[in-house]
Order: sequence, then structure tokens, then C-alpha cells
Amino acid sequence: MALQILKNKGEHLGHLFFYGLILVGGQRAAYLFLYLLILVYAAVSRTPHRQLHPYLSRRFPGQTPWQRWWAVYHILIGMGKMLIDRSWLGLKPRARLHGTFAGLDTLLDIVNSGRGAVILLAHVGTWQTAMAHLASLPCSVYIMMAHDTTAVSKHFFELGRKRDFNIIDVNGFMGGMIEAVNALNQGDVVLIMGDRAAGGPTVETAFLGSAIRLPVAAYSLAANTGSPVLIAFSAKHDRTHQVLKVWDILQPDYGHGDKQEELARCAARYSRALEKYVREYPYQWYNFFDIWEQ
Amino acid sequence: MSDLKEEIKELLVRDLRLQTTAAAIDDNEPLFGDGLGLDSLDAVELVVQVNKHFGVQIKDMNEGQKAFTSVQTLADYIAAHQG
Repeated sequence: MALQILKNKGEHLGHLFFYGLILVGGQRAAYLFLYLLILVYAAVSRTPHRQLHPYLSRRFPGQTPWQRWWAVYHILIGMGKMLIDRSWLGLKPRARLHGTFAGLDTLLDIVNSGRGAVILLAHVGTWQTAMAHLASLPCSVYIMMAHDTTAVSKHFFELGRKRDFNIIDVNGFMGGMIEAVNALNQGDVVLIMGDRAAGGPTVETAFLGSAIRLPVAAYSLAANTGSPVLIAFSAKHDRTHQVLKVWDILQPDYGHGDKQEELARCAARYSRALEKYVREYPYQWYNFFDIWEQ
Repeated sequence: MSDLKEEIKELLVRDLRLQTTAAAIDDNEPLFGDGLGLDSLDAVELVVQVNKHFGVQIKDMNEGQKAFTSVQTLADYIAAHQG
């Protein structure tokens, strides 16, 4: 208990230190300190190596120990930069991450047709800042998330930047599905993370050669409301440039047979899109646990 | 009200493909968890079907929590909100 309190206090101070560094020295200064910090952390702690082993052993099966260490370091740097970016965006009014959205025209066509759309994301790339790309849509944007307002690490919209989207609390009754249905029926856009099972229904599919259970709520929402699912992942390309890209589009439909089979078919398409993503951006994977055991 | 409850039970069995009959569902049996055992995917279908069949929109999770307690509470909710 005492150790946990100490750990929380340390984490809190660490965040305050980075916020101060960002305010005084900007994003570059925070990055510079991050490189040093991660170098020490990756050298002395076994935790990130253990956490990332399930992913790296499947993504890079033939890696030498040194290559594995370097991959862990690379991923930790990416994750750290993402956390700095979201703080930077929140703390500095003039901060901007420039970006492109490959698939925006398709999304606009869908939104303008009034069908609503589910955008299915993953804990990869710049998912926390990518939602800025959706601020200009001619509809409301909802994100389904467990919003912990007491968490030490703050989102950019909790640090001063205006929030351009609505939050649907997944810890509410039926995981917020009622609000999500209503949003889609109104023709709005609902963002859902598609890779982590947070207690809701899942199906088994293959990912990087092994069986994994993936959540299916997004496909159920789409099948029942007639909205399409856009599988979209973001990636950081350089210090101030991110790309959000639609990797696949699904139209879940219960009309042709078994519901479970349809949900499994959709989850398999999502898994294939995520495999393509990690082939292109192997070091922007931020699931620090054994996702195959979820 | 009795007809409405029967309609709801028929809808549950037909559209949610429950492995039971309408006659076997008790008016006060919990819909989720213990009872009929519906889950969040069923909640999605139920929200859509209630809107489609009865023209009633469940507005949010607070209303949903009250309405989706049992067939009785859902019938009460629909009766109170139908135009």
C-alpha cells in the first residue's frame, strides 16, 4: 500500500516535471530528456521487455537479444513521444501536429449521406491525438472510452485545449451502447478502440499467427444501425506530422446468416488490417501486455 | 398493457433469438445478467428494435437502466413515451 502511494506520487511528480519542461523548453526539450530517461529505464527495468515480449516474439520471431532490446527501446520512445505530444498540444495554445487523413473523402461521403459511421481504432501510432483530424466533420464526433478524470496522465483536452468531441463512458450501463446507437442513428461518428477486450463480448480470430480474442461491439452497432465501420489507424511520421489512414471499410450485416459468424468475419478483417499496419509501423505498437491472453 | 408485454416478449424471442418461448418469460424477470441473460450486444438490438417497432427512443444509459430492468419496466417505459 505504502509502496503504491509512493509510486503514484513519483508518477505524479514525473508528469509535473514533464509539463514544466514542455512549458519552458517545448516539445523538443521534452523529447531530449525522454531519450535519456528511456535509455536508463530500458537498461535497468525488465518490465517493458516482459510486457512487449508477446508482441515482438510474433512480429520479429528471429530477433537477437540486442535487436529485441533495441525494439523495446524504440517502442518506449514512440510511446513517450505520444504522451509528450498530447501534453504539448494541451499546454501550448500554438502547438500543432500537422497531418493528413487518407480516407477523409470517403468518410465525408458517408457522413453527408446521413448514415453515421463507426471508426475503429487501435492502441497504435498517435491514436490519442489523431482525433484532431475529425474536428472539421459536419457532424458530432463521439469517442467511447473509460475516462478516468483522476488519472495522473492527462489528455490534451484536460490540459487546456478545447475538446471537439463527446465522450461516451464505457463504464456506464451496457458499456455506453445506448448512447452509441443514438449517435449513429442521428448520423454522427462514433470512435471505438477495436483491439482491447474490456469485459464486453469478444470472438476469436488470428493475429500475427496466434489466436486472439477481439471485441465485437463495434460490428454489432454497425449491423444494427446500418452504419459502416471504417478501420483507421494513425502513425507518427516525424516530429510534427501524423497520418490517419482508413485501412479497410466493412458493412456488417446480420441478414445473411449466423450473427456470430458475421462478427467473427468482421474481427478477422480488423485483424488483417492491424497486421498490415504493424508490418509498416512495427514500433508504433502500444499494447504493453499480452494481448493474446486477453 | 398486457398486449404490449406480449409484443415485447415476442420481440425478445424472435429478434434476439432467445432459446425460450414468449410464454416462459416472466413479466418481472431481469432482462440482463441473471434472468434472461442478455448482454451489451443484445442491448444494441433491443434499443434499435424498440425504436423500430414501438417508435420509442431510449435516450441514454440512465433511462436504459430503468427501462431494461424487466419486460414490465420496458412496457411501462414504452407506454409512457409512445406518442
